[in-house]
Order: sequence, then C-alpha cells, then structure tokens
Amino acid sequence: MAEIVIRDAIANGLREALEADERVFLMGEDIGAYDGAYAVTRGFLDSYGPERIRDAPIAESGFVGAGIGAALTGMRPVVEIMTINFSLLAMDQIINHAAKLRYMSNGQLSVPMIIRTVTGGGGQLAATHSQSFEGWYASVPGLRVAVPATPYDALGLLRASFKQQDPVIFAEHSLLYGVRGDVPDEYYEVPFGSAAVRRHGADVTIVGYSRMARVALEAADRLAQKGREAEVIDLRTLSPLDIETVVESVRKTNKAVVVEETWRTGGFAGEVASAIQEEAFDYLDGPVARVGGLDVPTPYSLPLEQATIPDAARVVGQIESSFGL
Amino acid sequence: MKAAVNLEKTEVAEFYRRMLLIRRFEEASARLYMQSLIGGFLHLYIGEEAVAVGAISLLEPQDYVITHYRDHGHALARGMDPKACMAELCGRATGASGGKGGSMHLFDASRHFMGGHAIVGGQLPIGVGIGLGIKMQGKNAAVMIFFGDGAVNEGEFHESMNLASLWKLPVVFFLENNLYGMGTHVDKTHAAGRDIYNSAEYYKIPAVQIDGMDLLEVREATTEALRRVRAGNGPVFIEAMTYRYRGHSMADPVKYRENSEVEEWRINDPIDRFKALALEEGLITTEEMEAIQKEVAEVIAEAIDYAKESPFPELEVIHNNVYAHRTSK
Amino acid sequence: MTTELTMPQMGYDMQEGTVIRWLKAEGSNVEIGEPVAEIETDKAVVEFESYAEGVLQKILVNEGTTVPVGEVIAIVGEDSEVLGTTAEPESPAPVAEPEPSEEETHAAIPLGAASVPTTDGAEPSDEPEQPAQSQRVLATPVARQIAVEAGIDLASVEGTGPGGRITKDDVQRIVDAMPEPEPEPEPIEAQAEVEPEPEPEPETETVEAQAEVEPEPEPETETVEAEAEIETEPEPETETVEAQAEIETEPEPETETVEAAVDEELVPLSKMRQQIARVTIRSKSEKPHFYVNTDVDMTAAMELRAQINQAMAADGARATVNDLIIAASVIALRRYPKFNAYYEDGGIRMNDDVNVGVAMAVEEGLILPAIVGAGDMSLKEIAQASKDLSDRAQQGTLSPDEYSGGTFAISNMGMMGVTSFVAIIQPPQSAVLAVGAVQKRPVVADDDRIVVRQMMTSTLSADHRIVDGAEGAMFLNEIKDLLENPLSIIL
Repeated sequence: MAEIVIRDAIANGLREALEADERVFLMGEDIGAYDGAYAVTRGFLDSYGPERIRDAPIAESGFVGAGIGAALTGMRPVVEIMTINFSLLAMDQIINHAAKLRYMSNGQLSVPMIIRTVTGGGGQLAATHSQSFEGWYASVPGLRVAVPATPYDALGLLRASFKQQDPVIFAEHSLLYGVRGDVPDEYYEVPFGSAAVRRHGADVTIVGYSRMARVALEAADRLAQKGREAEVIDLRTLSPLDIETVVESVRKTNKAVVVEETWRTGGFAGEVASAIQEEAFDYLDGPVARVGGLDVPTPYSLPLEQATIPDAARVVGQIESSFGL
Repeated sequence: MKAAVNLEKTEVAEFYRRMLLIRRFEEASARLYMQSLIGGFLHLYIGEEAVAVGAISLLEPQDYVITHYRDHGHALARGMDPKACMAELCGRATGASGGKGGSMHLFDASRHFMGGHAIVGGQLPIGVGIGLGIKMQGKNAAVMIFFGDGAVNEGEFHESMNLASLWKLPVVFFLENNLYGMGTHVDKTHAAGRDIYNSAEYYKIPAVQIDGMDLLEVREATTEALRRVRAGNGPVFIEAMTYRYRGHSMADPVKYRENSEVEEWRINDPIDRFKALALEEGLITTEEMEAIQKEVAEVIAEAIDYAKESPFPELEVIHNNVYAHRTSK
Repeated sequence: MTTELTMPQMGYDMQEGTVIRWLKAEGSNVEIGEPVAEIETDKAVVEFESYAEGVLQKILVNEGTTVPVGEVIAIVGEDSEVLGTTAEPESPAPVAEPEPSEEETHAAIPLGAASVPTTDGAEPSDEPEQPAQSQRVLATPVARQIAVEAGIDLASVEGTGPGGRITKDDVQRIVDAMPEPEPEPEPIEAQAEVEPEPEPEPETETVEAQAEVEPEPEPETETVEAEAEIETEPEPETETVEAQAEIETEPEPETETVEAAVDEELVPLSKMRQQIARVTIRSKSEKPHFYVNTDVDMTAAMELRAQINQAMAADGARATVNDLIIAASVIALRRYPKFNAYYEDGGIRMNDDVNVGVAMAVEEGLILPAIVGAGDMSLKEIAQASKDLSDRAQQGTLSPDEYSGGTFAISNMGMMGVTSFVAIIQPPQSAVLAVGAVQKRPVVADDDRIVVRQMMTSTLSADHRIVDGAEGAMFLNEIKDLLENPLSIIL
C-alpha cells in the first residue's frame, strides 16, 4: 500500500501498459519533449522513445483519427487531447467514427483506443478552457466514459480501460492531479459501471463524479455538523452508468441531489435525476434536486468563477431548500 | 490512351469484367432504389470505374483500402461479394454489415476494406492512422485512401497530409476529382483551382494528376506510387480526373450542369475505351467480351435475387455490436 | 410475364411524384434504362428510366397526375397484347390541389359551410382546474405510499416540508403513534396530537415492504395478437365508405376500359368526394387500424325499446336501435376513455366531453356529424338529439361543432340489411363502431339448445397507436354487456 497522487497513479498505469504490451503507444500534444501539459507523462520520452511517445501536431481531428486507424490495425493507442475543450475539434472522429465503426461494420471492426483528456474548471482559465463535456460523450452509444476522483480509481479504471475493446474517454480533472490516496501494491482493477459509495448515511443521497464527488463529501461533512447523515455516491464511470447503486441508496434515504460541474441545463445530472425518479419514484420524499454549474460561460475573475462552479455550500443550501434538512 | 501491351490477356478480361460488374451493379442499385428496395441515400459510381479497378488491382491482400460514401465501386474492386454488397444496400440480415451500415458504410475487414465513410473527409485521418499502425508494426503494406474533391477543403485533409508526410507513412492519397462536391463545381470551392494535387507539394508529398477515365494510366500512376510508398519514402498523392454521369445521389436532379458536359465525358467512357483498345490490340475477342457480359449479368441477377430473398435482420440484433460486450448496465 | 413500373423513389424524403409527360406510348418497346416518362419530384423534373424491358402495355397514370411513391404507373410486358383487367391496379385517384391541411380534420364540411377553425373547446377547460389545484394535498410520493398503506387521510396531516409539503417523517410520525392491532382511520386526527416517539427502525421496514408493491404493467402480450389481426384484415376498406354513401351514382374512374381515352371519360370528383378521399386516405395511412368484432344478442334491447317507445309516445319521442347503441357506447366510453381520445404529437389527448358522431348518407356523399354532449344525455335526450341531427343534416343546417367535434363515431348500416362491415376511423378520432342489422339468427343457448335470437354484429375499428386489441375487446364487450342487459343503459 502506498499513498500517491492521481497524476502518479495514471502515470504508473500508463507505464505498466507500455511495458506489458508493445502495441500500446501514446500520441498527443506535448506529451513527449514537453513532459505532458499536466506532467503525467514526465520522463516517458526517455523511457520509451519517440515512436511510442509520439508528439503530435496540434491537429486534434487528425491525430484522434490516426489513433482510430492505428487501433483498426491492432495497435492499442492512448491518444491524449490536452483538454476536453479541444476535443470539440475532434468530435467528428470521436462520435462519427470511433463510436460507430463497430456497429456499422457489424462487429468487423473495433476501436480499442483510450482518449485521455483533462476536464473541468476552477483554474481561472475562463470560458474556453473550463468546460466539462464528458456527459455529452456519455450519451453517445459506442463510447465508454471514465471519470476518476481518487488515485485508486484512476489506476484501477485505467487498467480496466486497457481491457476495453471499445473507445474510452478517460476524463481526468485538472484540479485533482495532486489529490492523494492509498493504492495497493497488488494488482487490481476498477470495473466500468460500478459506482462507489464513498460515505454511508440515511438522510440524503448525494451523487457526484470526478471533482464533484469530492465536493459531495465536503457537503456531507457539513451536513454531519448539523446532525444529518448523507450518503455519497461517486459514479466513477458515466458509461456504463451504475444507476442501481444510486437507486438503492435513494430507496433508503428517500432524498437525492445530483451534483455536476457542467451547466445545469442539459447536463448529465439531469439524466441521473431522471433515472432516479423513474426507478425510485414511490420512495421519494421530495424532488430529485440538481446542483450544477451556472448557465454562463465560465468567467475569469476569481469570485465570479467560484460562484459559477458548484461547491459544498451550494450543495448544502440545495439540500436545505429542497428537503428542509 | 496508354498502350495495353504490358497486360496479360487474363488481366484484360479481369479488368473489363470488374469495371462492367461495377457499372451493372450501380445500374441495378438505381432500379432497386426507385422501387424502394434500397433506402436512404444512394451514390452511384458510374463513370469512375477505371479509378477503383485500376488502382485497387495493384494492391496486395495485406494492403488496406479506405474510402468515402460513394463506395460500391471500391468495395467490388477489392473483391467484396456482390451478394453481400447488394443485401447490405437492401438492409438485409445477409448484408456485409447485417444491414446496419447501408450503402454508404460498406465494410469487409477480411479484405482489409476498411469502409465507406459518410462524413466528408472523415476517412482521411483514419487512413493515416492505418498507415501509422502498419509502420509501427513493421508490416510490408500500404493504405490507399480514396476521397473526392469535396473533401479537400476540410481541415482533416490538411491535417492528414501533414501527419502522413511528417511521419513518412505508407499512404497513397487517391483523389477522385469528379469536379463536383454535390452540385458545386470545384472551381467555386477550391481557391487553388482544380489542380488540387498542387496542394500536396506544400506538405512535401510527391503528387501527379492523371486521366482517371483511362484504366491503364491509373494503373501506371498507381504502380509508381506504390513503389515509392513500399520503399518507405512516405506518402504519395494521385489526383485522378474523373466524372460521375449520374447525380450526386439518386435525389439529385442535376440542375447544375449541362447535359452536353455529361455527353462530352461519355465520349471518354472508361469501359468503352478499354474495350476498344483491348479489341484493337487483340487482347480480347468479341466472343470473350460477350461471355463476360453474360456472366456479369448473371452475377448481378443473382445478387438482386439474393438481396430480395434475404430476410430483414431480427430485432434482437439491434443492440449487438454497439460495444464489444453487451452490458446490462 | 409483366412488370409493374411504379412511381420511383428519387430520394429518401420523396413521398409522391407527378407524371409530367409520357415519353413512350402504349404499345411501344422499352429497354432497361430507357427513359419512359418525366416525373416531377418535389425537387425537380427527372427522367424515369424503365427497369423492365418489353412492351409498354399500359399507362395507368395520366400526365399531370400525382401519385405516391410505389404506386404502379405503367405495365411493361413481354408482348404487345392489350392488357385487359388482369393487372387491376388501384385507381389512380387524382390528388386534388393542395388545401390547408386544417380543413382535412373536419372532412365532411360541405363547400358551402363556413370553415370555422376547430378549437374543440380544449382551451377554456383549464379554468375550473384552478380551485382543484389549491385543494390538492402536497405530499411526497413516499409519504403518499405510507399513507395509503396505513389508511391515513393526507388531508388531516400537517406538512412540515418545504411549502408545507407532507414528508415521509410527517406520515411516519402518525403511523408510529397508531395503536398496533387495529389501525382505524377515524381516530387518526386525534392521535396526531399525541407526540410520537421517534422510532427509526420500523420506518425503514415500512418502505421495504412497499417495495413489493409493483405497478401492474399493461397487458403487453395482447399487442401481438392485435397485430396479427391487422394482417388478416380484409383489404378493400374504402369500399365501406363507398357503400355508405349509397346515393353515389357517379361511375368510378377505375371502371374505365383500357381502350378508352382516359382523359375524356374521367368524371371529376365532387368536392365532398375529394374530401372523403383525402380524409379516408389520411386516416388509413396515418392511423394503424385494427378491428375487433362480436355478435350482440339484441333480443332484450329490442323488447325494452318497444316498451320505452310506448312510454315516450306521449311526448312524440322515439328511440331507435341506434340510440340504444349510442347510449351504451357513452357509458362504455366513460369506462374506457382512450376510445374517446385523440392521438396527437405522439401523445394521447383525452376528451372530457363525449360527442358521438353518427354516420349519415346525404345527397353528395357521407357525413359524420356528432351529437355534441351525448355523454351527459339520457336515452331520451339522445333519441331527440339524433333525430334533430338527422333532420338538420338533410337541411344542411349543422353547426361546425357538430361537423368536427366528434370524439367517437358509430356507423350503422342495419337499415340497409348489412350483416357486418368495418369502418374507417374519422380523424382525429380514434375509434368507430360499425353495426349491422339486427337479424333473427339461430343461436346456441347456454343449455346447448338452438334458439332464435335477435342478433347484431358489431365491429370496432380502433387506432393501434393508443389502444391495443385487448383493450378493444374489453371496450366492445362492455358495449355488448350493456346492450344485452339494457336496463343498465337507462338506469
């Protein structure tokens, strides 16, 4: 057992795969000579050379497509899109191609490719660099989406991603790279489609993922000071979505709030909330509440940005107004 | 017209047969479409047969082909079963993709035919990636990417040429310039004019422009291209000037060009020209050609019957192959 | 062997095309790929190339005529034999010039009648909902569940949640305070005053127990059956309508001989016929019809009718068999309101009012005026209203509401001696009941004796998008039961 940060957990997972399987290679913007924009691939170029740690030009559609093509020939590409904001330039390749080829070819083709990318705001990078699109990708049949919030999950989900035969969007939160946590020495995986109950409680269920899973825990701590016990569920993957774990919890607590960083309107929290009311309607003791980002382009100035992105105080406030807790 | 002297008699017969097969297949598709047996969009390759047949005839089994949505010609040239092809067009369970892809999305992985792709330009980066995979695995193979003049204004075209040249990938960029992206003439869409091959030079990719209506010229250019690619010198670019006699799709009323323009191109019809030359040089006899025509007609009739008689897919397959493994979650 | 040339599909979004010009005459040779006609699609005029070779034996669609994709427009055969009646294709009914689609919803409005926009009274209905809403008890789903289980009247519970909403805790508090053996609902109010002891344990128990209560799913298996029925449905539906329009004397276009110059003898459709054509085509193409029929023993109903008519004779009123059927339908519709509903934009619009349409033959064709408010009428009132409706229909003084406000319809051809038939649903309605004559028939009685009863065959046509065969069967059986026990209709 070792306590490491998420950045190292992911780096360890990548090194492990590069060493175990020569079909694995990394391709993306500034992953080699620069050591990675978020330093995840620090030292990789020296270890594995420029063929396998392949710096790509700033051409997201081009190199994501190249990853798809390489996967079609039997390679196991890990394509890094520096941030999820830039993935918009590769959406044609991700959605129209990577997600469709298995189905349209009736299983003749498969695209076992991992797209690693960085999601989320909170770093005062303003509107174009502070977005969270993983929920969009989770709505596309043919894609898998992982959203780890702990070092344990980051490594375990990355290992599971290498086992997937389908394209995986592996969304790492920019503000979580330094989060510490225990990681066992022995091999393990975190399966896709299994949410984690981070904290047990009987009064309200708070659902989150990625950084918002941690915000949910913070909110639960504050509720505990008021004598209320919240159950916190970290979804860990959005596709597949483990709604059973959520519903099971809500049937117990009768109250649910879903927290998400992206805009409230059309966010993935809406999907989760909707599933809860479908599956647990007769157990609800109040409306299924959502806490999401404000429906504005994320502003630059610190107080404005902080007001945009959900935090523990807002989650607690929502629980008060929705349930009177 | 190039001289056909280097061709074996068997090759001549085979090229004639393939080009005719494609044309008759397309004509049959149009009829089935009009009878609503084929749905969606249907883009016909009639007029361009020499490009697919000429270029693909030089590929080895380990090579790859990837193309756009006007893909029946390439699929048949690569040896795809006309029955599976027609059944796919008709949305049947026996289609190449079990009826899930349709006309624009034909695939035959066993022949390294990596698909028709229906988003303009989308196949270019993927083709480059196939080249990357080939190179990283040290395989002795090449990938031939077909695309049209409509695709060259997409960013993906430039991203792809840049990547392929930068990484010296074994890619043949094969531009089928039929002068129209849907109904808009290339003169109105491409600033550099219709000699698009010039754009490859910027990326340090050797490029030629050829007469795409001449099977022998297509073969000559492709032979040279493959020689360079297989030698590990990186990509090459061929621009084949060609023409589709039919509209962009069945729904296209073709208001944007004069019929006289079509007639002018028909004078250079790739099949007629090849036929005349082969007869003249004594590489084929009229009787042999008639036998081929008869055989092709039978193959097409068989394909149509097969498609019509095949069942539609069962509803339970609808969730199959979204993912490698069906999950309950 | 002949091949039918059909109106070609020239794009996935093309639905109909117009033959602009025939490029080949009947009797001439055509080859595969040879242009035979110019077809106008919604995008352009294109040449239609034959996909068959042989002799163009028969042109079935005149120049200038619009037909749907897939409809046969010509026949190509091997020899030049004149084609007789062998390949009798559907008559190429000329599509009338486009008119505002809204008008199609009330088909039977004759040309003279003012075209009043139909706002079938849906709008004013939200007024009375206002007071009802304020009376609604605010309670969470789980609180309601617990209250139902424990027999607690939520109106007596004070809500402590946001906005006074009754929460699980509020109800649980009362449940916990209830005496163990006999949970009587009456004394609850008093007990609510008693301060309850917080007992978290049984709280979760209750919820778990409720998990067992699963909502009953709709009987889905029936769907398959009903679908099978669709397949076996007799083809020429349109005949029914023609038959009902008994005064129809105009020759049908399809009766024309092949030799005749089609143009000259084509009798144009009257406006009403055009309307009927449009509405029936629309109904049959939009509404997936299914049919359920049953025989109704009318013996008791006929006897009762005789008594009623005696009783009402003083008032000059008289009830017909049809009035009894209307009255029975009204009761059945209240129990099965989906047959009184409209399918709209992928949803079901329930109608509060029951307005029963009655098919009537008038000089120009067929109309289907409705007894507005039939749902609130006694049998006597129905009898009077239907007589009045019939009189005014002949005079042509029906109101627009009566023309278009029907929510269900009955078509009775009993007076024409018809045993049974099926009817086409009038959009936007979702069902129509077709009834035949009341006839003496031998029937096997319960004790296996053969007896003579007055029998009537009725056939329900319903829109499969909102109801299934099983529901159709239940609804029809309800009508049957009512008619066979006719006292229940007037009581």
